[in-house]
Amino acid sequence: MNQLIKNNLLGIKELSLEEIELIFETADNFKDVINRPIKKVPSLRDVTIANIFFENSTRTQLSFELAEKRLSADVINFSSSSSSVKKGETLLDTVNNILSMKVDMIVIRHSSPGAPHFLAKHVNSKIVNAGDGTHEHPTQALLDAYSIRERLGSIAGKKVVIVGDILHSRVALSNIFALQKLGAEVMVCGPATLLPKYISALGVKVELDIRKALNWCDAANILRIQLERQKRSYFPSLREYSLYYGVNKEMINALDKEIIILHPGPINRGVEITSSVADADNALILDQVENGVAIRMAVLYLLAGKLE
Amino acid sequence: MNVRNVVVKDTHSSHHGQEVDIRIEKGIIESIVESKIKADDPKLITPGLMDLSSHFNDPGTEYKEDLITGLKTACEGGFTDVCILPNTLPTADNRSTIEYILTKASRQVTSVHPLGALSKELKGDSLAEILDLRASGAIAFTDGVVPIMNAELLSKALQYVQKFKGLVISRPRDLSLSRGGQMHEGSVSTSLGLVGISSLSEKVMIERDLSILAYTGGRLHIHGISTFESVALIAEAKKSGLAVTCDVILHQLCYSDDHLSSFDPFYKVDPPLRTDKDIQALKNGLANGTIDALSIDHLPQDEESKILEFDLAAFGMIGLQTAFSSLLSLASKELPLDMLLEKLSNGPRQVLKLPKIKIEEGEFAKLTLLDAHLKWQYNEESNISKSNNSPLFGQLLTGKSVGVINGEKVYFPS
Repeated sequence: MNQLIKNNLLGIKELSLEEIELIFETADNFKDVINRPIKKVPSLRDVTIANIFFENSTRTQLSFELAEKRLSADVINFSSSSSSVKKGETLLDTVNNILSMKVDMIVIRHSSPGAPHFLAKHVNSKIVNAGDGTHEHPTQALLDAYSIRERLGSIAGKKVVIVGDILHSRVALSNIFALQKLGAEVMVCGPATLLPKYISALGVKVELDIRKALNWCDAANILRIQLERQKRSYFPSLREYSLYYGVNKEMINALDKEIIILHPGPINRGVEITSSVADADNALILDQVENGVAIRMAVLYLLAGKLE
Repeated sequence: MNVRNVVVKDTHSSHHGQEVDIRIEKGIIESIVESKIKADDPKLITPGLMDLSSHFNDPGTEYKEDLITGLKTACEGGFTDVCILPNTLPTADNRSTIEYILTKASRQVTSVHPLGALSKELKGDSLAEILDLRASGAIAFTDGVVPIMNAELLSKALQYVQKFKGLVISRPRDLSLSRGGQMHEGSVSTSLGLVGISSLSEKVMIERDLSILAYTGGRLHIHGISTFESVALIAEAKKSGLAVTCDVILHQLCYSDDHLSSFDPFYKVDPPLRTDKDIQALKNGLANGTIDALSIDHLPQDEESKILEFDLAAFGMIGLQTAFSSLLSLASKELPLDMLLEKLSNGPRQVLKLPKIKIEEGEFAKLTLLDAHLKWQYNEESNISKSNNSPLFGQLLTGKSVGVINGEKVYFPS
């Protein structure tokens, strides 16, 4: 296989194992590129990409922009913290306006699950999902899996636990789909109020005790806990969350094996993860950020290959 | 007027199953005689179809549908009678809105039966002027698509309508347990990252409604049950002698939550499409009589409300014009067409305590003629509604109404 089957990257759900492996192989090459003195290739020289972000994002947007620039694409950015509807313009109108300026690809982040799928149905462009509400965040899952593969050699047969707010997490869902396709066993762990009731239907194990979860796994992906969640009684207080679900050094030291730690960022130090864990050698957090650029270059490069 | 070569589909008629010629004079069935010359492909004749809950957006949002287009759509679909929801702007919580509806609809072949608001402005706080609404023509009382969250209001309403043996209609969904819900809560919603509307939110509400009904007495109709738990609850309540009836929305039996896996907003409805297990229980409930009626829940939405990101898209589906075609696609050994037709004709009339329509000599002629083999394209050209939010839009369908006789008013599509 040397190209993707679909014309868009909407979610991991739509990707085959072969496509994921193709993205990884392509990312291997780009990782070499970005570690060279001249970090740039001309592959996307005549391609224009619009990053359309309807939700605040720092690292994902930066990472995409950097990936685009390292591929020599022309880049425009559109950010709006509120959904476009509130401004009186529909998403379709916004995107069609941008596409009229001869843009070839759209990278979109939106608070509505399925927004990129909706665009893919109604506009004529290549769409990359950079996070759609509580649905998917495919490039994050790809870079997480890529980072695990890089550190542990392979993913098949490995045990990965995702810890925290699974209910509101697009990272969790995409990670579950990606890791399962790559042959890993997946567990989710968090307070039951933050786990979707039917999550086990996706074939994942469910654990409410963080110590048991850490003991089981080879890799733990610790999700950011969103501070506003305590308002709707998902948990009583941040203090209690960090006492009972926060990952600290003492927990890691008590394990009889070494596990690796991932976090999609941004970190709430001292809440879901302590500094001593986040900054340790077995934490891949900064590797994830670096790999993020390579993965996004790979995705954009492969999709651009399908431009007419 | 003569209607020749029609097969009677009315299990309560002595002519059921016979191919007959019917003579109708001044809105009354004068004679029914067996056809001497049989037709190759006889049409069916059935007691006039009736819907318990449609939405014609008039007054208020007439750009999606109005009383005239709504009733014409119903007529094209074979309906002699349609109940319409009070969720208009202004709401049907006052005499003048009811009178407006009845006056505007009076020349149409299909009869309209407005449902009156249960609470003022459908706010769920205090009772609307139910006696006055009834006197002006409201047939039953409900807050329509808005669930009655206030338990006190429901109990007062059930007591208040007892003066005239009135009917209260409840849409069972506990809003506090389904906040922000977009579709059925289950494995599909989980994998789509969409907020679910749990079966629990329906169950809790029905349990509450039934407990209140047991306390107050009166008559309660639960509209649009959608889960297997609801079927079981109502079966038990009926066994215990409670005066409760219920219906299931036709599209609820045709599609499951799997249809949402590509975020198609045309399948976004409230109550949400549930699972195959629920569908099976609903079918069993229809067959064994737990469920009294089918309803259509015709809810028109324009493109601006539907062609949007999934969580911004409006709920609702239209279905009056395509109802018979959907019935045919459902008909099977366990769900005979005769029974399905009954649930969409005399079923709703029994819920509302209206006289039963019988295909017998001397009876009032409220009849629907159906062609079970006619193939037709459901598209821009054939669609009568102002909206097209149906998953069937654009498809070649089998089965169509070919005539409506509503007393002296008749309609035969060209």
